[in-house]
Amino acid sequence: MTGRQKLLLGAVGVLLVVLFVVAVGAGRADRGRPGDADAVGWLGRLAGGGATVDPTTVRAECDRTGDVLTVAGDCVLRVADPGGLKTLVLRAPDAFTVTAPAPGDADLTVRDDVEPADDGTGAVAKIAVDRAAAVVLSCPGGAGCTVAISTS
Amino acid sequence: MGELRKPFLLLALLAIGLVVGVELGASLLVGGGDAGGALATSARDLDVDLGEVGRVSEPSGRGTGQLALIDVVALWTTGLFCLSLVVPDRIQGRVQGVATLVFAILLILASLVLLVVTFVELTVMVSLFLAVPFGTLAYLALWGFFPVGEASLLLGLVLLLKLVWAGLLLLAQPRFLQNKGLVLLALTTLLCTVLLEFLHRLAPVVVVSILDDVGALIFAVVAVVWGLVLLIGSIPAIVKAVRVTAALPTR
Repeated sequence: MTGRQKLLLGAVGVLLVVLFVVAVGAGRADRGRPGDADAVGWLGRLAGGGATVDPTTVRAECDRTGDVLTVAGDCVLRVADPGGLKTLVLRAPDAFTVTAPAPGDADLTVRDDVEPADDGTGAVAKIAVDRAAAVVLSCPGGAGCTVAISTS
Repeated sequence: MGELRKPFLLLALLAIGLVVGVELGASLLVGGGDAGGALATSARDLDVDLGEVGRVSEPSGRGTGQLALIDVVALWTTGLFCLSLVVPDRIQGRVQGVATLVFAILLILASLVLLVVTFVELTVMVSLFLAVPFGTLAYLALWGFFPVGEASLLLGLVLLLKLVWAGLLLLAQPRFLQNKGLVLLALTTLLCTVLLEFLHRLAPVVVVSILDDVGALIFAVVAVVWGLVLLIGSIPAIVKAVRVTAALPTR
């Protein structure tokens, strides 16, 4: 091995160590905001938009006219196994509350108070479902409200 | 250039063996810590209430483990060098080609399986993360709190061992530097280690698991390429062994 080769090898080794140290030192250490999709939005665009749950596969334990549910107190929606990760989209003109199990192997249930958007599009809840699940709807103050199962 | 220095070669084998061992054991060494508090904080950030919550722990990630797909090639190559110390050249010449062919096929198959598994997991991760808030919380509970510091420590150790491996190989026989395949393999594995550390530090902690899977995906592809290189490289050795065997006088 010539002196030049030794020098080159040493330089490559040092460069790799420096790159590693730079990555450790200059990298981000913040936890980040979970709702901020910018970080992986590009991956989501590559993967394409998620499919929505077919309203006909949802059975409601409350009055139902077409895809519109009349909720008085609580209403349990039983979603059939969608055969993969899909989104159950619920729309209402006013606020409502959704309680649902989280998809995947996560052992937790989540409760979300959905408020109408400022742009007048109403309140929209998007619930990720990947297996048969029971979703509980309720209205604020126990009053009645209407919620529609939407496909978009 | 001198004789092969056996102790250095054996130490190189030990170093790369340790690398593969550490990488394969990464899932036991990294993660597992409680992340329940962090999940509750994230749920508050998303303005949702968590109902019943089971045990939430830090993930171990796939990236470091799948680095082993590349490093088994380095282990195999170093192992073959060491084999020449104990097995006569005549026998090694006949066996090496077939053994490498089998190894390459197994490596390609394992890499392809892990490639598919990782890709599916990656799409699930991204889909969950983007399905705010129910999917996001599920993502966070399963993958959201990657232990970046622990992983860095492990990758630092792996990088050090790999540099030691490369140095010991050169000390064993400086002519290894003329082996372009070996130099390329060493550079590939070293760069992949640094790349994984960059991926771990590129984004906020909540998305590190996704980038770790991207790294794992890249390593599986690189391993397939190295598997193909080994597979193609083994063919001339097999042909030569067959010719030599056929030329031997029959009784």
